[in-house]
Amino acid sequence: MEIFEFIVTLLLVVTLLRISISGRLEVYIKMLSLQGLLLFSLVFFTVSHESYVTLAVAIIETLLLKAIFVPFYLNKVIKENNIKRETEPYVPHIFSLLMVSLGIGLSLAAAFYMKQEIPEVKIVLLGSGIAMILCGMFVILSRKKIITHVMGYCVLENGIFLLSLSAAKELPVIVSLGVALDAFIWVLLAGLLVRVIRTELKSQSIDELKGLKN
Amino acid sequence: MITFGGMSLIFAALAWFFKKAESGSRIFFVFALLHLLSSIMLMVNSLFPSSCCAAWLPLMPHTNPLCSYVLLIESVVVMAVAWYNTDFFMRHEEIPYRHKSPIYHASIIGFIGAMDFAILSDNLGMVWVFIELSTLLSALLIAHHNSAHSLEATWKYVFICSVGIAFAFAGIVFLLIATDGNLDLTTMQLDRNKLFAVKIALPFLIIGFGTKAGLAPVHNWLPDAHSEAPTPVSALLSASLLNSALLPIVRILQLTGGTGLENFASAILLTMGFLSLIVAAIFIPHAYNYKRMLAYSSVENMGILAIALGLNCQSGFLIHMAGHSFIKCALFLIAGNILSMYGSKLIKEVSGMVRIHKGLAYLYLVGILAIMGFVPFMLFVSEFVIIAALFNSNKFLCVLFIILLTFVMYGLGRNMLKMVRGKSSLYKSDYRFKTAAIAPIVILLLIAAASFGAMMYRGVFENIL
Repeated sequence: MEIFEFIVTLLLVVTLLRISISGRLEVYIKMLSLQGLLLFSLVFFTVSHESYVTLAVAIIETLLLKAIFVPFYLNKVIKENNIKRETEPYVPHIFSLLMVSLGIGLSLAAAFYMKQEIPEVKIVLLGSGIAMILCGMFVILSRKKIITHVMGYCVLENGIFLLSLSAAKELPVIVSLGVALDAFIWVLLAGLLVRVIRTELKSQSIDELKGLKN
Repeated sequence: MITFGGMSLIFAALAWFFKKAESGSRIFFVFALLHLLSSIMLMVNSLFPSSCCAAWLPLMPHTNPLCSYVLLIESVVVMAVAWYNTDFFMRHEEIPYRHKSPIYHASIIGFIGAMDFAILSDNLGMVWVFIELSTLLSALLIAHHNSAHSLEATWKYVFICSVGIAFAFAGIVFLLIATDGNLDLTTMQLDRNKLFAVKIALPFLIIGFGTKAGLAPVHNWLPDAHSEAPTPVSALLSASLLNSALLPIVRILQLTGGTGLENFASAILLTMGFLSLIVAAIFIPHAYNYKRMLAYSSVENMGILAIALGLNCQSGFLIHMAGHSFIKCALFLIAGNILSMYGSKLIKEVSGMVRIHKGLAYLYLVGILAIMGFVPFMLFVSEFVIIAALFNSNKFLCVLFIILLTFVMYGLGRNMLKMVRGKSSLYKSDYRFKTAAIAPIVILLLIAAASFGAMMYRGVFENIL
């Protein structure tokens, strides 16, 4: 089972690298969907399930929400608003690739350090979880379009989910259900905001959102 | 908890189905009244478990007094806001938005319900879920006016708070390791062998929930959201949402007692608290928008609360929380009245208030003096207690605290005098407000003054000195 975990997390890290060098929003959506599927496989095959309820909630959260609904909905938003690519990011792609790789390295080092102090954490999951959080933050900080920021947040959220798997202690079912519900409403709201900001401000870029200053 | 949840669900549904703005605000008013009653009962119930209230409401949980206290503050604020709100949609500047009444009232009631759950839940995971839910529901309220600025504020609010709260979730995951899977805040036991996990969890939790509580350096959403939201929402955000986000930090700190991690936690809290004070001291004197000025004053007061927590100064913390909520709620409601009088949020376009509406001008003066911490208001007592605690622990920080507070007071006072005195920029000289627009403000300020009187009577000062 350990080898399976290793392969899945390796694939997750590859999706992060793919996101870091891409300017096309289609790729982001595909990678998000893939991440959802990979997380689903992790939950389904490796985590022990005490009851069917836990399993059902996990399936709802990963497969239905992360792998199907979010990509589908974001795709719809992109189509409706005619956004194709992320134009002129703040940093060149090669630089983002370097930054994300550095982030992955640092997270693995941090995971090794934590493993020595807390022996029960799963090191591969912890390292890639931190890497995904960092990568999500990086996407948010380095890209300009509002919709890309939404995707960056989704990557960050996947990272937090991975982190919760690494703790080897399951969250109560009601909490995971609540988290899934929040994530669902968040994506709906973000899509709505993208649409409203586009119609009211005639803009898709974060540069236009600089009216409020001191 | 079921009582509060059920009540907010039923009333939110009612508000959704009644399309007229008048009925929506009436429903909100009735909700606030019941809400206040239930939280008074809850407070009595948690102080005297064998009292009659327990028999009346079997659904009431046996919460700890701290949670009931925060809930009671929230209820008083909600009551004042609901009263003010009965007049809000009748104002001429709100008439174009009257068709949005169902969504406005449904989400405001839902938002209050989410805050109730966040305050009353014992499970840290559920607290997280409901704090995030309150972000999402209040985002709809901040975007109410649909202008470029309000959309920008909404976007920043949703984004910064969600990212911050996501970090708090990471903290919860680490805490889970040290508590052997138990997230119940009343029964949680920290495993002494796994304190390293708690040490990792603490910064995540404090910074995560601190983002929502508006502590610097992660406060950037707060001035935008508070200044762009409609008046009743600004008051609710500032006076109750920030408290409900601070509560989990307090409850987690209670758990770390005796583990040797208190110094670590208090260092983080003191840093964030002083940073907030510095941010406020820089931005308040230069504020150009009076709602933003009040928002920065919230950052300042949250900073003071964080400092009180860092010093483990419980009485100062509790008094300051209540005082700030009541006075700041009153000030935001006054700001709403000024906005409908002058039609502008800019300080330079508001002058000579005392010539147009004497009562409102004096209320504004009293409110600003109260938030500065003058006698006879609650914040005087709390700031006094906190300064005394700082003096005992670190004299340098005590001097810094007083200097920063002086800057804040200078900024608040100067901007307030600019607005109150001088030649009026309006031609009208007899602006009239309805009772609902003034009475809640007077009552809130009276409560703040009466609590000061009560504390003097009970001899709080003798105990401290």
